Amino acid sequence: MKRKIGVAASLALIAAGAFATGAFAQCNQGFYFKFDADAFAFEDNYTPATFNSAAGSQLVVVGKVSLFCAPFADLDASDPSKEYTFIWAGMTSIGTVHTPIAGGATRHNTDYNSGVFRIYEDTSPDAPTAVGGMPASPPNATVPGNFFDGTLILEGNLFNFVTTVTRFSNGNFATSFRGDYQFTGPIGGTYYSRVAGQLQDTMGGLWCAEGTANGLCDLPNGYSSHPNGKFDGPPVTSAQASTWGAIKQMYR
Amino acid sequence: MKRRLLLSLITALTLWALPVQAADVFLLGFAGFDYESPDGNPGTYLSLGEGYKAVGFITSVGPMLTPYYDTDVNEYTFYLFNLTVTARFFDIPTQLLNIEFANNGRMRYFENDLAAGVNGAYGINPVNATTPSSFIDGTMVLGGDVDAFRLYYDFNFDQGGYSGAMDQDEGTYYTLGYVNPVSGWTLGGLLGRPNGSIPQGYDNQLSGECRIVPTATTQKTWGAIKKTYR
Repeated sequence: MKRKIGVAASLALIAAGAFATGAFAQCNQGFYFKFDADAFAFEDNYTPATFNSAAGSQLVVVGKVSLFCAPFADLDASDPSKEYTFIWAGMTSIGTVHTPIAGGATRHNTDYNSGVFRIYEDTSPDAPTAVGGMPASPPNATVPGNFFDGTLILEGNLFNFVTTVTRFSNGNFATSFRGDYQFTGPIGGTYYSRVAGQLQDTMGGLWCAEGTANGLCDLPNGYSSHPNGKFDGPPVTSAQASTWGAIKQMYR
Repeated sequence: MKRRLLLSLITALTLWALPVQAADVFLLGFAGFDYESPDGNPGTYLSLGEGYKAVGFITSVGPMLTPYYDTDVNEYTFYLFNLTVTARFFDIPTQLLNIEFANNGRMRYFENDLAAGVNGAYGINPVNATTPSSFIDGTMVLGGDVDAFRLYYDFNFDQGGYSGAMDQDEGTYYTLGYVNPVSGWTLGGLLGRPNGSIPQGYDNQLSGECRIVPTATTQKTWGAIKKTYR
């Protein structure tokens, strides 16, 4: 009986984690989930013209997940009857460091103190999007509020969050962000149970700062940047060929 | 009557004066891995004259391509290639690497039948039996010229980024006019190494997107517009 339960549970986990949505074909690259067009950041003390985040400035990021991969591939981010939104909050700027670089480039680097992230499943989609237009001057009536309604499905801590805006000598920009994260809950939750106990991993992506030059993003008033990125999963452990007999032996 | 006319005029003037903010248009997002090919100096990341390439998957599309994107039926991949290092600056105090590439790089996006086609597989030590071949099979739906491509990598923070200017000029979506405008797109994203899922022989996990800032519109009165046609 126990064996039957074990087999059934294993099959259910495999089904939930791998084969639920067609979008899974676009995975296969080491991340748990990705966000693309619909993610936006704002701060209470940021100057777009100089890419300067003053020390103490509070950073908030809101967005919609565009793709879930294993072990969350049973969540369909493209289902129009739902939305999967997230918010990162509690991160305070340590201040931007502006550094001239060899070759005529300039780097604008900002570190932030630790914060938290939360992901929600909402069966009545109401978060504003890039296509519909993000309402200006956040915080406002829908930002960030409509990004943290619904059911909390995952949450955790963010550490070592850093953003970089680099201006090249030709006037083009390249941008990025990087951080570490760890899932912490919700305890007993369906999705958290799939990753509970995992150590810190990395998250990162494009950090398209407000501006009009090539490599920057022309954002509605009040937004400091448009992130496009992912939360990475742990590396896949290589498989070792074995026999049923050897496996049974391990449990005797 | 006069009052009604005045009200209409005030309303029209108010609407005319409202700031209409043009937002960037998102074409598509992607994620994958990059590698050097040809890699004449394997001990140094992107030496002068070396080639830069990347393969991976499209992760979402914007409104222009939404009607043609069906991940239940197809796999969507990309291939970035034909980028050659023309200048290389490494700043020792900041540990920042700054790379410039020759113009005329190329980015292509492909659609491949999930059931009948060969699924994209990275393998190890590219170029190999599946890279780039399994990412460039199927139908080339869109492709374009990439100029002004620049890349940086910060060895202190273990992160980097890239950007380039892209003009779409090939593929079925281009031919059928699904992407409009075709010029002035920006290709940008992150490079990151501290990720254990990077297959052997690849340099970075990369993610990014292609977007465009819409052309600014000029506000005019109806009178001025009428005058244009007289």
